Amino acid sequence: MDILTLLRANMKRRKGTFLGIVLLMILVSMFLTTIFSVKKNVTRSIDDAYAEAKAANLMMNITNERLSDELLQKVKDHPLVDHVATIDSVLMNRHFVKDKEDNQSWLIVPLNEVVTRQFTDDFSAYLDEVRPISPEGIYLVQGIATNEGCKVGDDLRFETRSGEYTYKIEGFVVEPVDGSAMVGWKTVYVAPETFSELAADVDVSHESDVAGRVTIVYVYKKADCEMSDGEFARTINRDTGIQDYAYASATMAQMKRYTNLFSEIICSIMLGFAMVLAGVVLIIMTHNITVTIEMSYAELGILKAEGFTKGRIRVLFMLQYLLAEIVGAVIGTVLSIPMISLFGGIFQPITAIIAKKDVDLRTSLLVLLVILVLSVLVILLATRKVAKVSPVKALTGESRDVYFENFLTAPVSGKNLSMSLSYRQFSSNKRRYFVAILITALLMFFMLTVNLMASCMKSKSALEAMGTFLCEVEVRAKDRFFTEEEMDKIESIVKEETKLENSIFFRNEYLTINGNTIYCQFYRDPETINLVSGRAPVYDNELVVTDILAEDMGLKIGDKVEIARRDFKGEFIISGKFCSMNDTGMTMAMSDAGAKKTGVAGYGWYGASLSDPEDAERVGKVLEEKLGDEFKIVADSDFSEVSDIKSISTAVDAMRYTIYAFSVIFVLVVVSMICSKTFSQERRDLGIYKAIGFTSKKLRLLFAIRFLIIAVIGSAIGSVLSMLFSNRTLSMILRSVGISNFISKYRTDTILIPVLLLLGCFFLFAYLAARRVKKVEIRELVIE
Amino acid sequence: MSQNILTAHDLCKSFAHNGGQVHVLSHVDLEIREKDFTVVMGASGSGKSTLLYALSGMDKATSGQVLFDGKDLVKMKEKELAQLRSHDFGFIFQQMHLISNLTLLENVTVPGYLNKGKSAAEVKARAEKLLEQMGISDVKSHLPSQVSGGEQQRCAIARSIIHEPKLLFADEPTGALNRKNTKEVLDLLTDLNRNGQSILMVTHDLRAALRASRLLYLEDGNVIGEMTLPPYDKEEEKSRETQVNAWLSSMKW
Repeated sequence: MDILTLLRANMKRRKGTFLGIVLLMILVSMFLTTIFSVKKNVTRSIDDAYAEAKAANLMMNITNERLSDELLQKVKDHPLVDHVATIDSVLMNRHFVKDKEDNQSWLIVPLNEVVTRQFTDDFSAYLDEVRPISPEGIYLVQGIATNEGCKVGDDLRFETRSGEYTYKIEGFVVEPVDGSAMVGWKTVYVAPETFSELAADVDVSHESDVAGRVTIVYVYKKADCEMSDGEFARTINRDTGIQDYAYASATMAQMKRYTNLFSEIICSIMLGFAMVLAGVVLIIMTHNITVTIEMSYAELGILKAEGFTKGRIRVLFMLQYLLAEIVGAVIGTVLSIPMISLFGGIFQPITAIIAKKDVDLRTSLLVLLVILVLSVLVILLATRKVAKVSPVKALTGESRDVYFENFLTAPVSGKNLSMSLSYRQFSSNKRRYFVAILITALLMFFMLTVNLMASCMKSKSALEAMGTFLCEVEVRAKDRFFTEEEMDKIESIVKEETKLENSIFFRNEYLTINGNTIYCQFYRDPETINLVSGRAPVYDNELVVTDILAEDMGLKIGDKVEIARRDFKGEFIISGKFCSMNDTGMTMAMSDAGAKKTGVAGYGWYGASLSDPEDAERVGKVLEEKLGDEFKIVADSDFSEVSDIKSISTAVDAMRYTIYAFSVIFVLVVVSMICSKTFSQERRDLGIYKAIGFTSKKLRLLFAIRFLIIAVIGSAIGSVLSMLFSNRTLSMILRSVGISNFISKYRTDTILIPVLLLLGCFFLFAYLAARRVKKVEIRELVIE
Repeated sequence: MSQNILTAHDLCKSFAHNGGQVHVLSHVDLEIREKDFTVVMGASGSGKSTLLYALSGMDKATSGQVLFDGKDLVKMKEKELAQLRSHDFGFIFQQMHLISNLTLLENVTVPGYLNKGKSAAEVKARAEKLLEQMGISDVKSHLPSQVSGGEQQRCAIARSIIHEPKLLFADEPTGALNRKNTKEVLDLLTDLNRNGQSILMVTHDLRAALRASRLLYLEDGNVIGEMTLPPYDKEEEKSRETQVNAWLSSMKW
């Protein structure tokens, strides 16, 4: 009962501290519950969509002329295969959304019963049922809307050798397998009669790289097959060779991973941040307890003199802080409900699936329980000092602060009175501000790391160094591949007009390496490959692999591997390692000689990365004039408009601003709490300053400058931490998207924005928190 | 006759207590004269300190006027009062109240820096000179916690006069000091007054009262007696003590 009475009194008297901890816990619990729930919801929604669409374990796109009935039968007869389904489609490589060419491969299929979900026009919900499609209409997936910014009612045009086809976008449907903005090919739907008409018109050969007939093959493994999808695909290909004939193939596990990849990365980073916030709560709690013990030394001494044991006093602290945490956790969990819906929506443009809005209570409660257990340990450690409280010392006032000069002490200068006095207030109480510095450093590290990630998504050189080829000028051959003379001509025209950073004649296709179907890039000039180690694949039996592929398949430079494509099988040597983000880094590359050996002939795409991107439009015009109508030329000075990273960039920005917002709120609470304690500790000094002529405004300014100094030191430490660890942290996190060597690109705004934000917040919040200075009366110094 | 430097008219100060009002100062009328060493005496609870704080603008009077240079302190805003404290008034507390994380020299220079009329170098030079006069220049780089109470109070006196105030207020400046330090501090104040410094001091220490050129007696928030004395002379301390004691007895002290 005595403890409860004291608990009530303490909470009433120190309601600032109590509310501060409650608020911090609300934020932490809301953040954690939201992220855990969104992470789980996105994964479950993807799983459910796959189940509803009855997605196969192995999917392959095979041109009709490569797919024989015997081959298909061989797969159907395989003992591990439950059944095989095929869908007739038209491959369309030249499509224009709102007159702008999209560079992905689209497969046009007749609308079928597999499509079970359709979005409302604003993507906010699913319709009750899929609406019938008109003969002039087309249904797209949300990934296309994300990348191209198209909407219902827009026109869409296909170009084939037979002519042009224009359709109206009538809606967007759920295609869980390739609907995501992260997947490089897309399935789109037209009315069955439209499909028949289109298919009849299209040339059967797809070698022209423009349009062709393709069969989508779905292979389902037997229910009792315990193999992973990858093992299943390898076994089927080893026994039937079907994947060697596919120009694209993927397992269900791979596609789910690609779809979920980005949300997983963002959620992992956000969870890391949430953990930092939880750590901040524990740190600030320790600080508060330590300061409270110092400030309430006399009261604690009196309690001891009255018979309170140290154990009971520690229980009092424990109850006080745990109660605040529990109250905060409960409110935070409730507040996470709208946040889950809001935050889950951020990933929808990327996953193209509406995420569930369930609250993952179990995981959240478990994590909150861990935080509470850690809090108990922290409180036990922080309250050890209670044992040292002496009733005699407390009552005789021997526990006053005593200051000593230290190496950080600098003289108070008349010229910079505010600054030097603030610095003295800081340097003579370093320990008191250690917590604020630590918190600032952690927040700064996180803000800089996320900022680095975001700015790299917008930095051409950084993205290129990490394995993405970004170009301002593209040239595509219409209906055919370039001739050798044309390739030389294109290159020389561009070189005459501007300085090149890099340029490639490029082609890609899926090949099998040691039985695994892997994305392969073919380069006319292998010297343009972005090598990490070893040497470029010059000879026709050489190839290079990415670090990620090498690690996944246990390969190293000098190893021999078996490469297969359709009827070709041959031995290749790994000559080096290179960087590429394609297919989440599971990529290999070979030279023109290697391409010819495997049966891949001709290039239909040229890309030029210019030293001065502003030259792009002029170079494009010259190319158009000199090359004529046979080539499609795309020129844009903004590489991000040409690349597919816009949607990712948007999500990263959303994450960045969320982290900024939470950092600002945390700084507000932390500064208010520390200011409040500091204010109580320095009340007497504030009275003295007033007595000698300082105004409240000047004293508030001193407070604000002191916290600005703390923010400067914390920011500097956070920046150093970022320089030391951000690259490693991001490389570790982004390895899953194929970035094994994250290259940081510190731009002025990368550092300046978080630094200014933290400094500004510290200064402003400290100034606001110090408003109580006005209430300090000089009379308080009087001893009557 | 010296001119009035500070005038109080009908000064009242009351506090809320147990749902009622306690009147600590009751319609006080008072003039403080330039270059005087005015000492206010009275029993504990008579309102001495309250009067001092109200006259110095450190505390607001409930009603009445405190006029300094023609301006009423009671009506002054915080900024004007701060200006007054940093330019025209000096204050010595019973408990010294030095800033604990500043050295003795810095404790003296900081209020001097607030006075825009002097350069930082001039302020520092004057502070060093004052500390030397106070006999504590050898400990000027020490923090308050590293020096004795007497040294702290001498530093507090130096701080209070760094900006050459027109009027120096002292609230029981010897209240926390031993006999030796008390004498030293009183000698310093006497010297300051001899050099023209106007002082208003509150005390209940007879030894301190002997230094006064004018004695006021406060009872129940009212000035009920006044005595004028010649400038302090150590040689005549005995007779001065007898004279003051007699006066205090008449005040029923």
